[in-house]
Amino acid sequence: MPCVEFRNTSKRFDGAPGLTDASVSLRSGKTTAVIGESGSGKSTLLNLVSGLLKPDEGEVRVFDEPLDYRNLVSLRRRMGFAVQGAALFPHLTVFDNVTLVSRLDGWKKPEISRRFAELMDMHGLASNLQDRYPHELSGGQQQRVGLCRALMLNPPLLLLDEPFSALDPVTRHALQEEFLKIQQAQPRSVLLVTHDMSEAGLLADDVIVLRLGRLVQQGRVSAVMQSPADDYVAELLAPHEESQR
Amino acid sequence: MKRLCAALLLLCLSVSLPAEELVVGSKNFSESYLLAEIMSQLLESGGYSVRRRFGLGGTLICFEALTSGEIDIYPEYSGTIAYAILDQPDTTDLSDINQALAKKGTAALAPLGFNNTYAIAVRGSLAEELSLERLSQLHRHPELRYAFSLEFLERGDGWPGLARTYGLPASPTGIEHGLAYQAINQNRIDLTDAYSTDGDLVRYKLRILEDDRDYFPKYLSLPLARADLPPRAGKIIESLAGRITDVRMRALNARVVIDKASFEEVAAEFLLEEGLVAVADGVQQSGLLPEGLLQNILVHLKLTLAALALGCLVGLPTAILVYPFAGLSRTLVYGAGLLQTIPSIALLALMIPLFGIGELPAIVALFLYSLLPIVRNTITALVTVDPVLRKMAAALGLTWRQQLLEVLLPLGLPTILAGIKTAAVISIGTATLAAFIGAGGLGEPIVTGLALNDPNLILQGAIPAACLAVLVELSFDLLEMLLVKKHLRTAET
Repeated sequence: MPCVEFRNTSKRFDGAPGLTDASVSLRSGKTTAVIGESGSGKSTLLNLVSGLLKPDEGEVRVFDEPLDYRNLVSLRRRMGFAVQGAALFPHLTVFDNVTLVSRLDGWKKPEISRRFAELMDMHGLASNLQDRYPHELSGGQQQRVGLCRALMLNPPLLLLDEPFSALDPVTRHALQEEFLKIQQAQPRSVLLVTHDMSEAGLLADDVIVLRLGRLVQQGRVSAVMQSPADDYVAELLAPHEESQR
Repeated sequence: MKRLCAALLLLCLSVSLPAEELVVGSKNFSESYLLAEIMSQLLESGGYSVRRRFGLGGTLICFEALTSGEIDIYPEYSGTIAYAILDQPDTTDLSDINQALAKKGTAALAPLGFNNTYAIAVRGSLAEELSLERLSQLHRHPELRYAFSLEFLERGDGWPGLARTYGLPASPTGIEHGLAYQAINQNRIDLTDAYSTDGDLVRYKLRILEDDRDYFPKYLSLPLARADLPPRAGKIIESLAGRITDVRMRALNARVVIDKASFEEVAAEFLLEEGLVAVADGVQQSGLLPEGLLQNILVHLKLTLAALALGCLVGLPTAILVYPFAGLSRTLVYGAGLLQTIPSIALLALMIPLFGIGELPAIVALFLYSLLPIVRNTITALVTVDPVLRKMAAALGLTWRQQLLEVLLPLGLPTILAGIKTAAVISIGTATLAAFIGAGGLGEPIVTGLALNDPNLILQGAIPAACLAVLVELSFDLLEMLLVKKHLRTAET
């Protein structure tokens, strides 16, 4: 059963195409990378899954059901969400940022503490960070806390919008390794938006390539790498210098 | 005989019954205070208990208060009734005036004896220098600086007609009547409107110019009462009829403004001299002296806090409901801003037909003023939250309510608090004007001080009001320190 499925889905912004007639399905328990130039519709695709956007045409299905726009709250609690720069709430401590949703979801205190400790440990965060505010953390720590928050409710689906891209190479590499370890220990469906093909190659099982809102190619990472559909894909796959990002 | 017995019985009853309460009002100038105090003491000696609501801000406020039953009687002038109340400038006959007043449920009682008409006063030294004696000479001196009370500027029988009758080319400025004499004394202005019985005319050595074209109508002083004033009370008041001549009134006024005697003292002296009361009652403290200060502060705080609480109760939810809709938000802020542009005294006056006089209309007016800063800041606070955080709150599966309570409001709190603080400080300032509609508070000594030209009295209201404003500002800063994390506080501007 696919965890996410688009059926002839289109979304336009003020007439400009965001995503055009996309049909794609994501394998459960696997990491799918969405790559493409900026403006290719990567984030649109992600926001359609979380229900932040509603398609103009076609259908978005999550967990094998059409997305129920009247009941997004309970659905979103089954989808973790993390973005570039973490977007932690500045008025909340690390502990409160990570555990906010579980508290609102009615979890008991001991349960919350246990899960929090588990996540902090998993991401190599010292427990004495829990009372700090986001502005007192390094960029890497903020991003890790953001991932902890996304995973707090142990969601079957994780939506990641370039979570590793605003970091220095060393920190990025460390976080990518942690991500792989966690995925190996507790595999879940992940939709990873990135503009970095090497990241996709490292972290993802499958890949979706977008260009100007259209699906150009999809398949196993290895298959796409071996036979890119066109010059655009080949160009995306070519190794890039750091400075070109 | 039977009738006499009945009358006697009625008299006994009325004496033994708990004292009936009457409310006496006055306008905000010293002669009106004094006459109202004379009427009050006379009624008290006749067995009534009297509530004093003095210093109401102008004719229309007094008359509204009278027709709405907030006050029972206040001192008025025949010309003012004809022009400002009835809008029948040609009606000069008292019985005609009373016929028209009867339709409004009010009645003018017998005139007290003097004619306090408008007069034009010039600085004595200047009048000497220019040999000014009559109004008809004025047009030869276009260089003179005219400043009139706002009421005089507006009234049909005030400046517009005066300018026409005497061909005066000047364009006068407006000035609060209580400040005009000081201004003329300090050579800031040359000429202003005055009342012909004004004690200040003597004090500031002003010359009244003769109205040689008979422009100003008669302003016979008379008590204006509700038609349902108890007949016995009406009788008591009418014992004043014809007893106060122009000269007498000017002397009584001078006792207050020059000798600094209190209204209570002067009124008691007068009634004793006239043999209208047997012995002078113990002179009561006026409540405007520092002993009344605490009371004034408490009332002031009550007005301000009630208005502020109401402002938050209405403003915050409205802003929260409206902020997602840009057009609606703009309309709301624009509307609240429009309210803000209504001059405070006008807004207070507008409240009277709806809420009478006293604290309620003052609170409503202050509430309307507090809306703009609260609504505007709350909307600004909510729409300026970082869109990424807003999106994150939604994507994490927070309900609308949870997004608001857990993310948007805490992040907007510094801006929202700043709005409430602004509203509080504005309210404290504006609440001083509430004394004009009988709401009391720190405006009371200010209004009375203006009427008496007494800077000390004005400061007794102004200084505590300023202190309150500072105190409120500081308490809000403290509140912000308690509620808002240091790294999220707004930079002080």
